[in-house]
Amino acid sequence: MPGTFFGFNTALRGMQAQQRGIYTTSHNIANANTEGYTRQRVVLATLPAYPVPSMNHPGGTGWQIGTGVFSQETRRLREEFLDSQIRRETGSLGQWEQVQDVLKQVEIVFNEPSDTGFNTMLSQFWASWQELSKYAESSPVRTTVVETANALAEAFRHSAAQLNQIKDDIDQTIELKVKEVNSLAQQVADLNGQIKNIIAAGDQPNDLMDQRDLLLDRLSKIIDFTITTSSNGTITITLGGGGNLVEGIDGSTIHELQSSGSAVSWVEATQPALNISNGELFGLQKAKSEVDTYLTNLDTLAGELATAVNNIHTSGDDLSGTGGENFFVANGGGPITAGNIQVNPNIKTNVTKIAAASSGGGPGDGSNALAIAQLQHELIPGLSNTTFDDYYKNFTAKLGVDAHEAVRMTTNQGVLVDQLTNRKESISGVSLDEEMASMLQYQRAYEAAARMITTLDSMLDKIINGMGVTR
Amino acid sequence: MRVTNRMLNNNVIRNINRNLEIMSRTQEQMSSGKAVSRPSDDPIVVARVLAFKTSIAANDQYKKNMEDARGWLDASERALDMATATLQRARELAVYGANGTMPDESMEALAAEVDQLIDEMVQIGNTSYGGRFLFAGTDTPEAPFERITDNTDPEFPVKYNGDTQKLDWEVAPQVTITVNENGKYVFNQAIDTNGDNTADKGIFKLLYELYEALKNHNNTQVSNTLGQFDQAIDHILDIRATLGARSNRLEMATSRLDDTQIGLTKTMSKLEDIDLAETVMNYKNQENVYRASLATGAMVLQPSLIDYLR
Repeated sequence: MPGTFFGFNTALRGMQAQQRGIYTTSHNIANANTEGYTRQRVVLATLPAYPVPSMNHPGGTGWQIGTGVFSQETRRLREEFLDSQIRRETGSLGQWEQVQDVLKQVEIVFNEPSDTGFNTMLSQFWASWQELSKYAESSPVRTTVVETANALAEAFRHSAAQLNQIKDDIDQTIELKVKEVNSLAQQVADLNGQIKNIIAAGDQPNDLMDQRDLLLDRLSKIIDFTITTSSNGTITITLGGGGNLVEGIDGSTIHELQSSGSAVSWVEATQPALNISNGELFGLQKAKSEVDTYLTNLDTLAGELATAVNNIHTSGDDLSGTGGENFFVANGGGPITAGNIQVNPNIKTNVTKIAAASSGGGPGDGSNALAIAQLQHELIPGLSNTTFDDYYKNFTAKLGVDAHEAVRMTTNQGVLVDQLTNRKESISGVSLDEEMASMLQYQRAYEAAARMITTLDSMLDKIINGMGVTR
Repeated sequence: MRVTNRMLNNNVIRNINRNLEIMSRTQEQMSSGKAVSRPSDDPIVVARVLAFKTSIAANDQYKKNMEDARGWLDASERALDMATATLQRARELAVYGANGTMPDESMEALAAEVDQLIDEMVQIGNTSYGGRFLFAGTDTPEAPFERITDNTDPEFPVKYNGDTQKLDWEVAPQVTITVNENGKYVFNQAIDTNGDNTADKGIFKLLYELYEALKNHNNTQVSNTLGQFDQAIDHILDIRATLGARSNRLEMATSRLDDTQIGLTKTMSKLEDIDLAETVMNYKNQENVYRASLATGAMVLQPSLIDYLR
């Protein structure tokens, strides 16, 4: 037979275990809206049974009596496979979001279709030369040509400046993101240290692990990485290329990243070469190279246009019968690009210098102007044998397709991440209904265990106060 | 599947956001009247719209060129109409002058009129249109014909100051039309005197010859000019016919281009412009969906077990 007071302990343990359960329920409810929180559950287990010794079985093999409950651990309900999936897809989402963001800005730069975009300006440019071909001697028409060409050159310069601004902004964003990676790495390292200590003490640092997972989720949006967990509870973050951002075993060592322009590298030269293939940093680098492409296209367009116009212009005669100068020149010298194209200042100040006539033609001769206007339909070898208009349209169409793809990918990735997050939430999220039900469950079990004490007490009352007492 | 409160929350927010986004897109279409406002909305449509815009702008310019060319051609034609009338008057005078019975004073009066006709012909040769001389070749700012008194000058009695270059205007891609006839050809290469198919005599010279013959009372010489006047009138008529044909061709091309423009504009409008009724209806549908998602949200988010536990 167990001792007289045996049941008290069982009941007490029952109360304690249910109490722990109710505290955890309370913790869950309190954190129902905490980002990154994983619901926790107390894992209850029966205590080792007490083998009751008996007359013919002194070793206690006769019958056993349960000694109640204990709470084994408070466990996080989480599926790690989902974490890695979510992080990968979040990285893709981050990548496409950045590309989309940048391309939307590029779309605003080109501002098509509109009445103020390049397409319209080019049309107006050709039209002005057509007009000049008819009214070669007219000063107002000459002024129109200069003004229209000037507006076109300004549009080139403005767009080039804006694209360069976008590139600078990308570099700055990359710098900020790299700082964020370093800061996240530092926070993970700090948490690694705390988690290691708590685990060493035999406890379960659930909330700290939640925090660390949340940091990893944030990090996954910026850059791609793999993690390995060591037995002491710390994690190692390895970036593409093989270098460790956070060293797991000792917990708190980190290796920082640095950026220069759009290039990202390790601060320490001894680290293996970095190879970023996903996340916002990758998206930003990709977007910048696309912006570069558009800028190069624009430069090519401006350069070829200037060359073609100049070639014809210099072969003609101006109003005073003198040979034509270059119509377009580079501001500051060098080859003509979208960033420096301008109408020759000599022509701007003196419109009679426009060489509308072919060599030897009279003042009314607009055949050179017509030759320039006819460039509109000419296939230009430097533009892969397309016309100026088509070349521009082609890269606008490419911009549209690229931006469209970025929007589509961002939407798709968003849906994917949402779905995965829902699945994660389905496992790890707090359901208030559920918590209320388990609250009642724990409450009732606690009440029953307490009642057990009352019952035992009244039993003892019988023994102590009621037994063998006679009046 | 286990459903948590946060999932419901997230779903409601996501749906509301998505519906709002769709609505804002439709709103943008309604306020701009355009189905596409940036290349990524529909890259293919935008590329086509841009191509249409370029074509329409180029065609507008060609139309303008054709109208201007017609103006020029018609003005030249009108001037040459007057030239024909002048030549016919001169021929009439020559017919009178060829009559041997005419008294000397009358011959001199005729000569005086011919002298006036030379001046008038110079004026016709100097016809300007919009401040530009029609028959000056490419030297349009300068009056091409000038009466001179130096009779040793090979160009006597009227000097041509223009050039013989053409004014070619573009009326369709790579298609140009010559809008001018230079004065040298019109007035100075009118008559073939020796039958070698090369016009070697000009109208001014012919008129001056008539003037001289009348002044010198030389009936035979006067009568000799008659055939040359016929040639000169034919020459001018030929040019007028060419100008008229060119003008007609332009008129037809213009009306054809008008049709093309209407077609292009229609197609572009189909691509680019929204059907307002349809868009408004879409918007109303989207608004209903949005309202429904709000209402659903309000219903879904309210109840929980907490409401029933007392």
